[in-house]
Amino acid sequence: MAIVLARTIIIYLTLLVTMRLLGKRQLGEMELSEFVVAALMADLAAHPLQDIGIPLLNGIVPVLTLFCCEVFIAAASMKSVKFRSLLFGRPSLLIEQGKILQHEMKANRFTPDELMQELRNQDIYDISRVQYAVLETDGTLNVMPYPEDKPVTARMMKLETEAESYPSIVINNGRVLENNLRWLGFDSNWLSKKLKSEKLGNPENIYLMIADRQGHTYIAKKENGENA
Amino acid sequence: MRELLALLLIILLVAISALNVLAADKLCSNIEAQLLHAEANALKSRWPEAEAAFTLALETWLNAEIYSHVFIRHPEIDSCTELFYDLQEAILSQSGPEIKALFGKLLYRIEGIAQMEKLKLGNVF
Repeated sequence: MAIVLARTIIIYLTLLVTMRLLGKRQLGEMELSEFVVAALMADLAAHPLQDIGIPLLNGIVPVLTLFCCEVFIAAASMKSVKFRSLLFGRPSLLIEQGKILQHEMKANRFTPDELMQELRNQDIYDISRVQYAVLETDGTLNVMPYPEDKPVTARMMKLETEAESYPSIVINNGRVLENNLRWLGFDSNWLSKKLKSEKLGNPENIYLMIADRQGHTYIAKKENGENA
Repeated sequence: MRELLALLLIILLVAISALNVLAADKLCSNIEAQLLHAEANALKSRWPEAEAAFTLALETWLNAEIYSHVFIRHPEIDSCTELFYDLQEAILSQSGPEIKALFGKLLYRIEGIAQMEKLKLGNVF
């Protein structure tokens, strides 16, 4: 057991360092330590399942050890900015004022093809339209176009907009979600009246009902023969 | 809260690991001592004494079944148990020439189990 514990910590730290050296490109929307844990966890848990000759403890101990390592690394990176930048790196500016920063591209081992692909994913086909492009520590590329290329918003157009609230599910497959109803500021009387006004009868006939605080609703009736 | 839980968990894992090293060492030392006693008697053809000491070792091994199945790889346990029964057969039939080799094999296996739990560079890497 001590050997399994020591081995897990060594493999975890080795993977953390090697993946850090490989760079952000490998991560794909996961933070470095999350990626390492995800890469190890699935395989570790599978071995004792497949081979009954391995004590279950040999699968459980590494999983628990990884959990501890991940919590400690996350706590340390929350506390120390230096540790965080050492472990996860810093966001890298790849494009500034429409100009590709080639030394940053090289440092992050990012090829022009990959940069173009990432930009195309965000519907940008002309680099000169990009004011800033930042490669985040989780490997995603965030792009900020020049102000004149940004989509028009209601604020820019000085248009008045209706206040919106977060819509919540109030009936899910015939079941009334009382907590959500209360959170929206309504009660079962309001629900009954609403269903009556829509000529829908009782909640059991509803497949999905969504409402917001303004009382706007979306209702989908159950198809014939559908049971709760 | 999560950090505290992780800290307690890692302390618990380290403590259980340390206890496991001690438990494995104690179990194997007991069995080794009983086997060495049985071997000494067998080599002097004192078969009843050899059988009694050997039976004690076998019982110690079989009584530790739950511990061994939780902490030790099962193929290791199976090969050790097989060697125990091979040796038992040799002692009961009082077959002198091969008995030293069988004791040697079993003692090597038991020593291996005690060693493989110890936190040493050779075991970790």
